[in-house]
Amino acid sequence: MDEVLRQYFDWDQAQPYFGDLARGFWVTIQIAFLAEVICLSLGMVLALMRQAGRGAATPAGRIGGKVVRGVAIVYINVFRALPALLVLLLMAGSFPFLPIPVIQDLSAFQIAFLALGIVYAAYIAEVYRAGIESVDRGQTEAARSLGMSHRQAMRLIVVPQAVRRVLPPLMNDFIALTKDVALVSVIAVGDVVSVARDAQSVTFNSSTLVAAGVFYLAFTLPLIWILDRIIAREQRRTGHVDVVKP
Amino acid sequence: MSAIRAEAIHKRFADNEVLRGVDLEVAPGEVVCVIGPSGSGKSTLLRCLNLLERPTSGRVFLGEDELTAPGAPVDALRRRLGMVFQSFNLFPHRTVLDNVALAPVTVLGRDRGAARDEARELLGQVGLADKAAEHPARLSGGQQQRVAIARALAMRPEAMLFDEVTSALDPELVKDVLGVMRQLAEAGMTMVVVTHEMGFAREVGDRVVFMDGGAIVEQGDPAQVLSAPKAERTKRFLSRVL
Repeated sequence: MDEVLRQYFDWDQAQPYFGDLARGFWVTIQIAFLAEVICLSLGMVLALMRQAGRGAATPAGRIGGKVVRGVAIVYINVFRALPALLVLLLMAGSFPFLPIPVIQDLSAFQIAFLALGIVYAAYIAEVYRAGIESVDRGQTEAARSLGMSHRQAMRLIVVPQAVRRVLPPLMNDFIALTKDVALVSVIAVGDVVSVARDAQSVTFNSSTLVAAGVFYLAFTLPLIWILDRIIAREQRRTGHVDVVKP
Repeated sequence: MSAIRAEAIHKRFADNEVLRGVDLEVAPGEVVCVIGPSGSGKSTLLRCLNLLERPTSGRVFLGEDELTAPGAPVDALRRRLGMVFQSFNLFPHRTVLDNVALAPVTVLGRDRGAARDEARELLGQVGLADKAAEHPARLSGGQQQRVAIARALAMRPEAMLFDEVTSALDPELVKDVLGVMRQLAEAGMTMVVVTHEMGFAREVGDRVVFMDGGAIVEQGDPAQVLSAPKAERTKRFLSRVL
């Protein structure tokens, strides 16, 4: 029994790596936040592209809208269907050898958050879309009847309501993204999982991996708590539940 | 020159012909009440007037400008017509004051401070000056509907369209909303009112239009249409609702 416990909770084994683990987790957090910024913005662009042409009055506008929608749908489906690990390996393994100025100079760290941001944008776009489509059609009609253009109605009326409703699933995806940062341990960026695994392969003791898990819990459990608070606050403010639960 | 003119409006949804050639002319300052059984096409007609539904064929004019002309600036024309909906459709993420002041600022480019002052004034006119800072969900249905009227008025429209605006309200709240509409009519606003409120149509309407089966069956002076209808179909309808 003692040996079992020591395999996972041996402070003496983990302690020398504590500084490395903390630095590794800082890398993990940075990648998670940078990837989140990319997937939140790219996801919104994709979600709006999926709605393109709906307000078009002319045939040209409708055809253009169809093309734009098609591009968004292909992107969303391809990146939801591909494993994130494959995309990451593909980018990390090929970009340094491409004769393209900016791309060949990307560091492993930059490729790590770009790859995760690009993959997660596909999921986030679908979350936004669910939010946009959950907003009652009467909202758009009221906005249009006040003379707003399709674009203004989306920006001022539909999207703000949609984003508020999908905050819980967005945060849920952020938590999932943070955990998927562990995938970048296959390329040399020094995230917390790779640090822990390297230590384990030296000591044959798993306590560093447990420590990495504790870092993750210390970060994600408060996020889950904040998420619940946001839902509760929204309920109090609007008097009813109109947020989409993850 | 009529304020609103609809010519031979047809509207088809898939196999369902909802409007079968409707002509309607509304004079400036006139209050036209449109009545009829549900499914008669009266709401669709109203929604065709500001192109929330695009007619399958036919033309709609606002003053001299044709909304249905190819390439017509629909957004710019539509803002000249205010519309109030059965389900209020207030913007739930904005305060009552913002609901009223938003479009004047974003669509007409009015000064924010001036728009908010005017919005407060309009809220006062509909009896809701003290609710400016609330969110719509905190208001009763009747209050929400009065905010919706103020919101439409804030655009200084040439005419107002009312789409069964009291149908979703508790009976005791209907009176407040009708009172606001009566004030508007007395102030000379051009109004097209789709309604089941026969009392309102009789007292406030300048003309009553009875629709059935996607067409206008009968129209004329409210007292005549409601008390001594000529068409058999109108008599049957009125005998059921009165």
